[in-house]
Amino acid sequence: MGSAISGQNAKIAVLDGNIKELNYANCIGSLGHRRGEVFARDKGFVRWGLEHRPPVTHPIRREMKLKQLESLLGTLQQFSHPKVELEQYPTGPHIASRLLYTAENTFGDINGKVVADFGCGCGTLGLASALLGAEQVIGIDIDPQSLEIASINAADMELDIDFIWCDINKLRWRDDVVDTVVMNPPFGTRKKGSDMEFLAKALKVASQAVYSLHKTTTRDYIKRTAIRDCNARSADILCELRFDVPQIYKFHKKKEVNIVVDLWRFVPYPTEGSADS
Amino acid sequence: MRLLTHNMLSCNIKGVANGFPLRLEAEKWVEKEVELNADFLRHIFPKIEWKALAGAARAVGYCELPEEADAAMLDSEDFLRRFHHALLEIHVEEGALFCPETGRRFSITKGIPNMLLREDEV
Repeated sequence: MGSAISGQNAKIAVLDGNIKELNYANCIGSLGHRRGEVFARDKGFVRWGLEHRPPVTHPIRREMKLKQLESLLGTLQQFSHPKVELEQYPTGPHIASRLLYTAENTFGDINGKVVADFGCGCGTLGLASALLGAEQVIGIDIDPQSLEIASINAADMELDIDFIWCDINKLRWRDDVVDTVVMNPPFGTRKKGSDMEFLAKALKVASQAVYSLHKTTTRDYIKRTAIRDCNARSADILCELRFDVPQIYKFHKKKEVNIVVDLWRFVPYPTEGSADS
Repeated sequence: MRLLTHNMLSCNIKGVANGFPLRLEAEKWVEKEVELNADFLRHIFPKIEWKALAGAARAVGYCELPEEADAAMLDSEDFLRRFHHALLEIHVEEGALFCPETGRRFSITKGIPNMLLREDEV
């Protein structure tokens, strides 16, 4: 039971082995990265109290290569005792790096923005956002053990991100302060509808965009519900990915299960009286 | 928890009418310098509830923010610097968020506010 997991064995392979442009009418381009650019991790000191560290500057974070982002995320600690009722599956570095890389390089939704990571777990998506230059990142999770691991991961990477211990469903925020929500929500297989609860809340809170992963089998339902019930102005699939869920729970019969998931980008309708575009 | 996060959070107990702002009761906080990004400050300014920010800043002993602010002040470098410091450089580590409406106190431990509700509050 409880076989140990790490970021590595939770790898997500893309269909056909490579990220490629799909032929959907609403597919948004490829995920190629720019070559020849160097990323240097900042050397800020994490010291507390009266001493302070030099200002953290990230002049070339935006230019980070996809592979560099992926390998940095591969060093993160993952769930030590995943909780099945919360559908805690680690967001692997492969899928996380692609989600954030596209959000930043294709849409400019991360750098200099306020980003919230809903159901942050061990913080992979939030930390990736911080690495790509988000001005403020807030990770929210209901599970204190996850938040503890996420805090350690943030400290290890010398990134400052905020955490809130809260049930996404019960979260009450002033709308539109957050620009972008990134999330790998529960797929709703254990608790029906939990994926849509996350999505509805994310679209309420975000002013710019919501990035999320949902099972491909629910594609039509997601699109319809997002637009009809969840305040989405648009709902586009950016690519289809294979989420290799390792055998981490007792009830898993097979050694590894592949779930095909869609990477979505939702754009919310602006709320009335919102001050910013 | 930075004061920017405080500026978003509302009391989430069922039936609460307003729930914002939560009064910050800070016991321990740290300051960490971050590079000032004027574009970001201009972007976020219209979304900030100024009185709540100024109040939270006072709770951590920072009294350099004016009582009221308007967008014209964003031209002042001095104002930007203070706004930046209050919003992004102060991290509350220990303390609580108090809702005057319900009397509920949400604790902040190791920088993380606990907004989980009890069964009778949902």
